[in-house]
Amino acid sequence: MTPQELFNKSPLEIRNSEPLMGFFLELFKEAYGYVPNCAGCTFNGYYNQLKDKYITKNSLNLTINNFNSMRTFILKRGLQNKQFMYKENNRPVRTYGNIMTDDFAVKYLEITNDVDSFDLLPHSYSVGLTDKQDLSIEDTLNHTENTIIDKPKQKRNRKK
Amino acid sequence: MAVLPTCAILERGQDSACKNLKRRYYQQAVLINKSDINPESIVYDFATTDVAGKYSVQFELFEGKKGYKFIGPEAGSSFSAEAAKSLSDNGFVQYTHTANMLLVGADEDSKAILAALDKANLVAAYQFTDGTVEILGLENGLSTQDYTYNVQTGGGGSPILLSSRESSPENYLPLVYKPAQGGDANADFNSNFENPTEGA
Repeated sequence: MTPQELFNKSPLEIRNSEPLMGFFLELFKEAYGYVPNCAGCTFNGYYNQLKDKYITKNSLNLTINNFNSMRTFILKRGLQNKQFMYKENNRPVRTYGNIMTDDFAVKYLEITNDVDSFDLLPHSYSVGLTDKQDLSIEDTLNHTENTIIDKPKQKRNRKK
Repeated sequence: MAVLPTCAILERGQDSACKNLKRRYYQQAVLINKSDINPESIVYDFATTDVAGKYSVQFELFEGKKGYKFIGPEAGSSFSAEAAKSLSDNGFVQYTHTANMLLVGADEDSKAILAALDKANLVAAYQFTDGTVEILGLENGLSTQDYTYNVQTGGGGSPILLSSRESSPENYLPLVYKPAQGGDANADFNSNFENPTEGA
């Protein structure tokens, strides 16, 4: 099912169908980065909000691929409208910060190592750094000269 | 009855009864020298799915090359893309792509640009306000139609039309630009499809 097909259905149809509701929540999380609390009680508002976003900004190309495409990273403040680019097989791949996916962020970091643009690194990239840290301990034990410099995993301090 | 080829079969309809339509192009065009496009990178996608048909193309420029953007007043309507369908003498469908744009000024720079447009073989990209990026003239290129450049009667500028040559029209309608996996067509359009040199 595509977002277009979902918004062809009424809010009542979506709320009364578990699969449709699940798809709606996935789409909402992909667009806004969070699942709305009590999605049922204020559903009409969230429905109109997401539908307006999809219809007025089709260039965002909202699609649901799988849970791996949900954002696990946070860009630095002010970089939502910045264009990011990396080259893969001699082909430039570009996107804007506000529609960047996890897959793009991981590849971007692997190629450019631009960690300074992120307050929180993507989960799968951070896991990769942790693996490298284990390797560096092993290398140290084997008395190799090369060491891997690890960037500390940045955590965002949430105000209570 | 004879069996028709698959390209001659209609497989889907369109319901526009309740749609809110976008009606215009952004008043910008990116013109690319056709020789700057890497022909080996061009990938067409006409596959149809259960939900929608496809009519897209991917391509990249040679390293170090980029397109050039022409921008008009956003309140105007000088920039637009169109396609005219016709049949060849042998019954083959062909399309003449036309890119409408505006060029202003009587100074040296404007003259140099116009002279280059007249001699060049170009591919044009336009962006519709729904975000779709269309590519015109990808197969055989576009060149300027005959014109009269009169900046006085044109209010300081003159419309310029780039179109497919009569002898070499296109086989396809203007194709929809598809970015690289994970990329964004809007970002590529805004960057003039530049392929920066590695390490730049």
